[in-house]
Amino acid sequence: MTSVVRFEEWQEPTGTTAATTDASGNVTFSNDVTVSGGATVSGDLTVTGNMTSANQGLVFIKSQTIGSGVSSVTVNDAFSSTYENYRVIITKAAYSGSNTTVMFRPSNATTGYYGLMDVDLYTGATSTDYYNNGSFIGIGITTTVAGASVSSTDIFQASLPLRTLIVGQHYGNGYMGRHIGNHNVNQSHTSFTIAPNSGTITGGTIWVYGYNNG
Amino acid sequence: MATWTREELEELYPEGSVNVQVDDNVRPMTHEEWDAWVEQQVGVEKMEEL
Repeated sequence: MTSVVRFEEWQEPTGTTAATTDASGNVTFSNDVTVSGGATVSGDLTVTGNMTSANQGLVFIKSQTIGSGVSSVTVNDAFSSTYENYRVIITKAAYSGSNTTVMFRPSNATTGYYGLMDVDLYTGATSTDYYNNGSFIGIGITTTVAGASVSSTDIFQASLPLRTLIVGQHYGNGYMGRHIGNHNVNQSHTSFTIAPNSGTITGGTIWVYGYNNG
Repeated sequence: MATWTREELEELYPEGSVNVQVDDNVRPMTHEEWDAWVEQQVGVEKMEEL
C-alpha cells in the first residue's frame, strides 16, 4: 500500500536518523516524532510505540494478566500525577465461586469505604442493593465461567490527596448493575488491589487507562 | 442463608493452594496469610449458583 504522510510541521530529536521512505512510499520514523502542527495520513498509520496527543481521551497505562488461584491482585504504578481520573476494566477472569462481590481497594486500604453495588438478575426476578460502609468497594459479581463477567470502573481523583470516588457498571453470571462509592480518606494512590469477597481468581486481564487531563 | 464454615473453606482451599499476586509476581500465601484469609471468609454468605 502506498501511504502519503504530510506533516505541516514535525521534528525528530537532534542527531537522529531522518525519516525514510521505501519503494512503496511508506514513511518510517526511526525515533520519537513530535507533530506540533497538523498531519494528514491518506494510507494506514502504524505506530509501534505509544502515541499521545493533546486532545485524546483515554490513554492506555498498563494491563495486568491475572495468575492462577490468586486471592488478590495488586496493580502497582497504576495511578500517577500524570492523570487525575482513570478507568479500570476487568475481563476474562474466572472465579472459584459465582455470585460473590469483586472488591476494589486503592492502596489496598481496608477501612473508610462507603458505597452501593446493585445487582439485577436478567429475568427481573431478583434485584438487590448491597450497601457498604466497610473495608472495600464492590465493583463486580463473580462467575466460575471464564470470560462471562466484566467490570468497568471510572476512578476519580485517584492520584490526588482527596477522597477517591468511583462509578461503574458490571455484569456476571446473569446479574448486572452499577457500583458507586467513595474511599472517604484524603489520600493519593499509585496502586489498587482487587479480590473476590470469598474464593480465588484464575486468569483474566486488568486494564488501566488514564483520562487525559487536556 | 447458609454461610461458609472454616471446615468447608479449608477443604476447598487447602493450605498451599492459594496464591497472592503483586504485579507479575505470584506466590503462595504464607501460613499466616492463609489462616487469616480463611478466617476472614468464615460467616460470609454462600451465594446460590444460577
